[in-house]
Amino acid sequence: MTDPLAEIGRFAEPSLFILASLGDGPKHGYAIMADVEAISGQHLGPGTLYAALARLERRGMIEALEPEDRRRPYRLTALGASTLGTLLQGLSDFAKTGLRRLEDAG
Amino acid sequence: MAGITLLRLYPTAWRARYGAEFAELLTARPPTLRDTLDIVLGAVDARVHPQVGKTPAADAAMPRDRSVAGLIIVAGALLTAWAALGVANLGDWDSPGASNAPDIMSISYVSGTLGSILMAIALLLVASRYDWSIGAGGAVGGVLTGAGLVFASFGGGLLAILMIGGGTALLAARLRRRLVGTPAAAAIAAATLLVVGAFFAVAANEWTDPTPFWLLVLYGPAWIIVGLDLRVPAPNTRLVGA
Repeated sequence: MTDPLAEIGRFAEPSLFILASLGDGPKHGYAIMADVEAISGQHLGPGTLYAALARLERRGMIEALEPEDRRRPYRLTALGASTLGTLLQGLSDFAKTGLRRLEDAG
Repeated sequence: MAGITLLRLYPTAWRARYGAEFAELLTARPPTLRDTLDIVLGAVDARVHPQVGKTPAADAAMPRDRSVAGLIIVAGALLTAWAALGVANLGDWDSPGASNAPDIMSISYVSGTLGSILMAIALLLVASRYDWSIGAGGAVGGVLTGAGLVFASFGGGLLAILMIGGGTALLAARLRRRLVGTPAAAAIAAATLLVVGAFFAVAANEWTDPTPFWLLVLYGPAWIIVGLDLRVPAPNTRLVGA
């Protein structure tokens, strides 16, 4: 199966971070930026954040909720949740393989 | 305020959709020099690769999408003709191959074969173009349905029916999530169920009564509904608040 984020190109990694951030519930842009920095150590610039948000929204992986004081929260759709699960499982399997190889070589 | 000034670099449609929340973000978290550069690059990206189109319909119904939808509609029409002409002119059921109108049966057979092949091509295109939406299950469902239809047109029997039934079940669920609305997905799922049911009903009567085969006439129109729905954006592709 092809990578569902592959066609997003250079925004694939930020998109993954955003999907992961929304995994535990809706967040607005500022909260997503802060959360991504907290869980990954990666800084998401505002331009990159909204470029990725727009792509994810257009592909139906996230949906916008009603604004709260000019801040609009986003949440995962069912498609976004399943996509995130698939991607994270793949990364998990990859990490386990890599670590096992290091262990075997050491 | 420099960050909010930079907002003007973004296209009008983008600002209409995201401007307010973006400005709020920049107010709450004033951009650094690095963020400023990121905003400029974001504006360039928003112009070069617009994600907020003039009309969502224009974004979603690209020429290739309309071609796939058109192919499904034509295939659905041919399958309707196949079923209607064939079942209406089955003739003497006790003499397989015999018919009161052999010419019409020939037309029916050609319609069915051509419709099956076109539908198989359309579903292959759906599987290859939309696999990021419909997933592996949907792609497998599309291929299975298409192959089953072609197989059935050459006398595939029970195996073909099971391929069509199983494939459409996989495909319909994933179509509804992304590409078409619930009514269209429900229509093709229900029509397929009726086709499979008709086959088993006739078989259960030891092939003595072909009446249930009239349900086959519903299969083609259900695909036409799917094709018509595919020509417009599915509900969850429409931008919220645009």
